[in-house]
Amino acid sequence: MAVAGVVRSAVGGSGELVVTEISKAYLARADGPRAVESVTFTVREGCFYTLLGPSGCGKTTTLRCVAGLERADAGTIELAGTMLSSPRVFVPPHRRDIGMVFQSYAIWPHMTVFDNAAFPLRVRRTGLSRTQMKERVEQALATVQLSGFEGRNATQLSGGQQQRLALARALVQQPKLLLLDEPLSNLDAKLRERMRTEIRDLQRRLGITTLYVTHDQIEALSMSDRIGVMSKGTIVQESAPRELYQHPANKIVADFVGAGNFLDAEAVDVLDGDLRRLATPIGDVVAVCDAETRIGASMILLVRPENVRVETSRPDGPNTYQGTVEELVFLGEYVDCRVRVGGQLLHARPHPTLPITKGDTVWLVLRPDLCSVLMTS
Amino acid sequence: MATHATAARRPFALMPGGLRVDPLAIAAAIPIVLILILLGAVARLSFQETIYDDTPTVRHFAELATDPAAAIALRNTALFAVLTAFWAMVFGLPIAWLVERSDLGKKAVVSTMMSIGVVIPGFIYAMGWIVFAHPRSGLLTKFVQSLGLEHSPIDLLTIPAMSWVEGMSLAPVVFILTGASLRSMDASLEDSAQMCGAGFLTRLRAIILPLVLPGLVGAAIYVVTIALSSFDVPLVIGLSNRIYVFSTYLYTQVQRFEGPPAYEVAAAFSFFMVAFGVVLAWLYGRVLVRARTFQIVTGKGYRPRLTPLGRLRSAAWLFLFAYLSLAVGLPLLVLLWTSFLPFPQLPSERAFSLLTTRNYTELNLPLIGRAVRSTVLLMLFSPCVALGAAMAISWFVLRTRSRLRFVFDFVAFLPHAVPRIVFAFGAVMLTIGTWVVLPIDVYGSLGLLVLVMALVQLPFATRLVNASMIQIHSELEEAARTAGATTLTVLRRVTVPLIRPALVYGWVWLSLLAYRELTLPTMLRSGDNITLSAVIYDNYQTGLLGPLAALVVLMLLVLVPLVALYWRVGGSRRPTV
Amino acid sequence: MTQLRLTRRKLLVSGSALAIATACGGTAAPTATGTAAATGAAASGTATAKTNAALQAIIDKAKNAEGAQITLTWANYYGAGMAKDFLALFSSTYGFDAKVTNTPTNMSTDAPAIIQQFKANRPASTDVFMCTDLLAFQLERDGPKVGEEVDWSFSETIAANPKVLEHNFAVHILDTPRGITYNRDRLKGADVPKSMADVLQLSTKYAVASTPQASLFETLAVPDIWGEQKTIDYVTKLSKNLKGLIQGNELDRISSGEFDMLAIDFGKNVAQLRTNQGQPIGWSFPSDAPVLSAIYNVIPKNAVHPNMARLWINLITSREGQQVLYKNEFVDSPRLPGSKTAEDVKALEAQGFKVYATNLDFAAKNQDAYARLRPILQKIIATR
Repeated sequence: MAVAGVVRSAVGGSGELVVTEISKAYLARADGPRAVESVTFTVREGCFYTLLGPSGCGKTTTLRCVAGLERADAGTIELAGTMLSSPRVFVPPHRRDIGMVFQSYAIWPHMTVFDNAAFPLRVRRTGLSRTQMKERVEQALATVQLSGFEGRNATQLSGGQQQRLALARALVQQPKLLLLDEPLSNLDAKLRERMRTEIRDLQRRLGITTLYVTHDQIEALSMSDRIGVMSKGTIVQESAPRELYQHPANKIVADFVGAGNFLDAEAVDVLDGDLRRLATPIGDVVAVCDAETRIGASMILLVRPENVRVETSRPDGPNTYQGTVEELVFLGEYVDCRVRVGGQLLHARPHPTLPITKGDTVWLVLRPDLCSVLMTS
Repeated sequence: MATHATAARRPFALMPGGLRVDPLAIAAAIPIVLILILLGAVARLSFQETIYDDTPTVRHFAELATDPAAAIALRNTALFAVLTAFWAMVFGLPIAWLVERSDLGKKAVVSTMMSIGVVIPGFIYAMGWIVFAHPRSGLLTKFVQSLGLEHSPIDLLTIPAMSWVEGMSLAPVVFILTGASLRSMDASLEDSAQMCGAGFLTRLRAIILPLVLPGLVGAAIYVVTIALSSFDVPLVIGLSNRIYVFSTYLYTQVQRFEGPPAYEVAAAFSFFMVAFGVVLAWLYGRVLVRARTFQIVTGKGYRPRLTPLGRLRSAAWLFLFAYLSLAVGLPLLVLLWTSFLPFPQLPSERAFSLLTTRNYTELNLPLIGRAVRSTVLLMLFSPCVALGAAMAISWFVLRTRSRLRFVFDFVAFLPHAVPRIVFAFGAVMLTIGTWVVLPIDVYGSLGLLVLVMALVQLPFATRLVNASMIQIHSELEEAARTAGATTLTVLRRVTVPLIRPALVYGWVWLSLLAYRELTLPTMLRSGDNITLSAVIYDNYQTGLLGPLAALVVLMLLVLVPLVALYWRVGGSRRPTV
Repeated sequence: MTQLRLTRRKLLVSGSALAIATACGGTAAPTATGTAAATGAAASGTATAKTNAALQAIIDKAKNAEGAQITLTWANYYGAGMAKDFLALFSSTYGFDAKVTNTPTNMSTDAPAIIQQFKANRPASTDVFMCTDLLAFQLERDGPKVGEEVDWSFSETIAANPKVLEHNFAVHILDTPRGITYNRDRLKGADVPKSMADVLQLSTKYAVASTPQASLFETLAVPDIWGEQKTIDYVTKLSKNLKGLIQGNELDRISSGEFDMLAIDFGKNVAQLRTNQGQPIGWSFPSDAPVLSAIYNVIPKNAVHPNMARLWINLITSREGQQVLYKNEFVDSPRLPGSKTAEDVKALEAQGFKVYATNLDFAAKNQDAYARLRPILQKIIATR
């Protein structure tokens, strides 16, 4: 759910980012289509906040507004109690206490590794002595495991090394806020996995407020404290990773965050507590719903593949459905399986040791609390 | 598959059964060999007594080495060239930045105006400035004198002033070249500098300038080499005041009314210039290499983001307006004015009473018709030949491992460093039969002019094609080759379509430059290949300034809409160079 | 009937020719400003000699074999007016139109081209080469005599005025007086330059220009005129005060006031054209250096349309041709009867001046001296 309309007070801790109702149009016209529409969120001090969404959803624009590389048409941005951007005030990017890692790393090819990392200290009047600066730079480089590379020309670094250099450069100035714009998208899968952990660990260690932008849900889910899912310029849901994944607010979020089985459902019976019986194309499903769900309410039921239990003999209990295995793909860590139940093709992820083959009859079991209900939207 | 790969790497391969040569390598070798032959002809000539008498001698070199006038001319040339490059950068670079990296807008309009600058013949500029600022007869002088001052503040008849005029006329060249540099710079490099705390000036100093510097230096060297052999401005302004640069010094040797032209002296003098040019060519190559390493590094990045001008917007427009008035408006005004007068004179009551359209109605249409035909054919074909040769050479240099490729690359740049007049009379000497009578008579033919023009344009064409081909990953071509395509097919079906924007862009500019070229058509002229620029220059030589002006105005009326159309339609897809 | 008319005409013309001939006295050594044929027979004659079988044969060949085409490279003495009038004259004289392709080319760059073309057995770039005495001499000396030795007996004019044909291949068509061109608005009264001495004296006060090739000074240096030392002295002194160098055709720089005068210019005709246009241009024949530069027409042996060339030269030397020439270009050949240039010369000689005219013999005699002096003089004039 979007956190809408609340105007925060100017009191934030050091490093808290408060973004309120910012909007930005694509073109210079005020009435044109908006890239970002009334986006509001808060990143608490030391928190790792991710803006997640497909390309064109406005996440990068939002990030650049926070950085100051673009100016929002409306709304305010505050960092650590200082107003950075408002209709009347605009602090230019080079005067904001922010460090940023770019998607292309933006390492300067005409400088050495040391010069690249030292640039922020040289350029901002930090009052540091030459030795102190050198120490800080070396420290920053050590943090990203680039010690010993100081003298190298920046063009001689590999992609991963450049990215780490970009990170060191962003952190060397010890900023109040760290911005990262899809920094892992240019890396290969193995490196990406490693960097995910490294960045996350680094951030936790330093305790620096971080705003991260990505379209990759795995990055978002594994690294963040909070995720804001954006679509078409607005935040459609904001919550902790697990909650987001398990209880997406609508189809858009659900579809984007993880794979899923979507079933049209209609409430037909009220059971104990929050349980409802829902009529679906595969049969009746008992699921945990919103307390206010009445009979006749129509909704979409989302079941994650990994929450679909596959049995080779009919089990007891509710939410059991018989079906035929139509497709089976062995993917190493798990098995991807499509089971036809009634007219529907369900996606399941049975354990690899389960002895099933194509054409077998199996039984699928759904746990009521592992089914997510999405209101029709 | 193996043979194709071998062809890629070793175009001249000694295989069992004889020497196997890739046809594309031959296509690349032909222009290289021709250039060397032309230069060889000039070298040979410089060691001859006269063009008729081929007794070997070093007399000319000795005389030149001891002639103080030659030394002065060389010194003047060096100063002139450097200052010209300076002024060309002063005007061209900011305008390039305004068009490419700021939110000034109106790209097509500004680019068209700059292109007009290329299309106006150089000596028209000079004439315009003489009318405006000559210390004895210029408008500015008369105005200043009417205010009571004795002397005009500007002394037009000096090397610095001449380089101002020439520099302004060459600013469009800087505009194209540096525009390409600025366009290809990754904006995120500037953004990250901002995020590190750098204000505009710091960014300029620490990030932008160092990164575009190789491109800028390359452009500067390019302009210097043009200025070294520049002819029109030094002729019209300098010669009249007995200030000589290389080209006008040669002119006084070569162009005589009574005696035979002393090409041999000119050839000897050219030696020095060629030596100088070779050094420049080498320098240029080094600078380019550095520029390329910067290009390869940048990642995906964003589209170049435009710097908002804000309060500087009106200053920017003022600057543009000032330059365009001086560089384009002034000569055009002088042209228009002169075209409606029986003879050139300053605006006065009498002048207004003499206005007439006779210059337009009495144009020598048969001659102009022939000139138009030759010029159009020249403008159509020489870029094609130049670009075709450039493609073959670029392929050879970039895609093969032959040890000859450095030689090819170097020789391909030489024509730029060698003064045009040298090439031209090399061609004249060769085709006139000074040493050996060629089987086909090409002297004075349009084909010869097209060929020599193409050779002279080869450096620009090669640079353009090189820069584009480098950006194409060789894997794209290798994929085609492994599918069974010959090198020629790969070039035709894969490379050319990919670099087409660069080719079109290059074609347009080469075509305009071919139109503007004066030295070559004058030296190689005959009834069959007389060009518009030669006719215009003739009019100038015979003092028929009225018809000259009328002709130039008409030509502009034809060319400018075409140029504007190009910028409107295709200008947005400009390639990075 | 026709014959009678011609005879009467011939008589008239020969009569006037005789009159002029006796009026133009002879002048000293280098001149070839000769009289017309004193023999009294067919004097200048018109070109429409229908009774001349040879001429008719040439006309036929020109029309049929050569398609009435002629290729020229005339950059001088062939302005718009001259072209129009001369072509009209051609049509009315020969009965058909000439198809002219003219590509103006600097004659000094054309000469080596023609020589080489001949040596290489290629067609000449022009059918009628218009050149100075020096260039004509070059054709003779450097090429295996590139100029064709035409049998001009078919041409009434040339047959009757053999002085017009030199060294058997070069036909003299005009003499152009060389002198001083000045700005009439700025130089008035006593300041009007009348001699080279005047020019030198005025060069301290006014902006004097000369030509980069130090045009004509090498001719002045021959012993008969100024001699070497005097010439070098003069040029040296002039060069110190000189304000610049322009080409002889750039007279607009005189009328604009950029320069006040040019010495020595390319000829009276160049100035006259502009004076007639209304430009403030004046011209003087310098009393201490009055020289006429000769201009010839030569048919190269390798000309593509030799018959058209013959007709052309025949016409331009005829009385009507010379009249058309003078009307448009303000010069003609004093060696032909009826010459207006001859009258100008006469007028000067009447004032006591000794007028010199160049010719091929003159060129032959002095060309070594020229070759030696030219670079020296050019260097002096080129250096500030």
